[in-house]
Amino acid sequence: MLVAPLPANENERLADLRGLGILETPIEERFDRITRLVCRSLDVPISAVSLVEDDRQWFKSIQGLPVCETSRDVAFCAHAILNDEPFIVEDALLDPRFAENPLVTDDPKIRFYAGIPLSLGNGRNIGTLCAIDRVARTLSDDDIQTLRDLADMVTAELNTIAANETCVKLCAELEQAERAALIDPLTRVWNRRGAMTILEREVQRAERGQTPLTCALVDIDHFKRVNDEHGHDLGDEVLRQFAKTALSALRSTDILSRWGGEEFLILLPECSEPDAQIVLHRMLKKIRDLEFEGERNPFRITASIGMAAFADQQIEPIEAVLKEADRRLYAAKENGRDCIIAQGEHDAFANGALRAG
Amino acid sequence: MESQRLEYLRLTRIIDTPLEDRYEKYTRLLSRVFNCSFAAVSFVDQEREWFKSVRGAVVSEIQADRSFGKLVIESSDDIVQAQNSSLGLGHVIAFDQRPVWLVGTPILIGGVHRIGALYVGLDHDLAAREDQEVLKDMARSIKRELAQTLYHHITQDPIREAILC
Repeated sequence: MLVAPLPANENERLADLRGLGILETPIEERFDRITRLVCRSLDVPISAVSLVEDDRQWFKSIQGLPVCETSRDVAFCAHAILNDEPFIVEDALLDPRFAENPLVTDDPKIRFYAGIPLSLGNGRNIGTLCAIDRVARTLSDDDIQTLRDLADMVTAELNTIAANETCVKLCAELEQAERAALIDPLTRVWNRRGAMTILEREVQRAERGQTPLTCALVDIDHFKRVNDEHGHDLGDEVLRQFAKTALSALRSTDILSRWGGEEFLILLPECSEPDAQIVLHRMLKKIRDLEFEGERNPFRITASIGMAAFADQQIEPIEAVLKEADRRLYAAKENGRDCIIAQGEHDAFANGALRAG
Repeated sequence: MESQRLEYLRLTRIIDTPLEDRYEKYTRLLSRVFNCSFAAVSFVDQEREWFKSVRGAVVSEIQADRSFGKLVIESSDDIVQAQNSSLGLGHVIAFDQRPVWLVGTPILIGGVHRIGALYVGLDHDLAAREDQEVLKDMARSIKRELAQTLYHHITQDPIREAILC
């Protein structure tokens, strides 16, 4: 195995990458949809946006593998960033640089790799958009053009600031390690501490701007059953897929966080309760449509939601609003699950009006 | 609602701009993914459907009434499918390449305003959910292309955010 040499502009390149403030940030739909498109258009099982740091490659988005980083020594992408042209390994077993690479000889058993270097427009490559397969392959010129087009989409995203102002500012303020401490390693969305930090700021922003802010506590129904019947690995996969699917249904300004266990907190800034219901119903539908390959049989999941709003006139204490959302989540569970309970409905439920669901 | 939509469309300053490869790539990708000869990215104002990028036809704009783009922006569905026969594109696509079905998704800004459409011409309708998701994913990415331009000429944060959310 050959470890890739360092590019001549390694220091400048790393400065570009760190300047982006993107390392150790949560997964984002805007990158996930591009890696999905890579898998779809090139018919490969694995695709990633890989950012190459000094000692590792970190995946901003990855499809087909449940990892978020590897060491730089074994990274195909560390080779790919050495040139500006597409880097293609048609059969890793026949390539002396990779034949003994543990990513080739062991899981995930990479045989084919194609990576387009990503730069911020200055020719310094910070990472790649790559397509990976477990069988040897060749790429046509058309295929390469497709991958280049998709890499351009990644660059467009890297050059555009994500739409939630609070998150952008928070990510910019924190050092990499501090960011990492606010992110849930399994699902790669904000963790509870991250969510609280963002929530405090969003409440202030809502207060300043006199805008509505809605929050939703979401709990995956019968999750314990998934773990018991299908094992914890699949349970983890359900959580990961849940997070990705939820993100794909939410607006780009909404914040998804793992609140604990199988419970997630969603913040919907500048969103009234009725509008939030539309977004969340869209999300529940997407969750319902997910299918998982179980031990013996395929299965699906649903989720229940309790919603609460921070009134735009008089902002209530955060704890009170979260408690209200939690009460309504419990009501949603009592109401038969796979539903949303919002303001007023909780009381209606208490009177027995919604029990029919 | 319509005046707000037109205002947002105007703010993007997309109509009557030159050919740009960053939009071409979407029609390239679409024709690739769906293996089809016709694909378009268009924006619709009061009178016309204007094509930012189009493959499989030589056209820069058509009258909006009875155009497919208009149909997409007036619908409330995420995926709009229609038989092509009565949709005003007949004369711009060579007869032997005329698709039977047009399948599109709106380009949305400000959460609810449909300013344009991304669509393909197929010889069948598009029933598979994964296929529909591909179309929707690409439309969301197009919004990012619009955003890149917006950052240059809109300086008020609230407007930018409203457009991009």
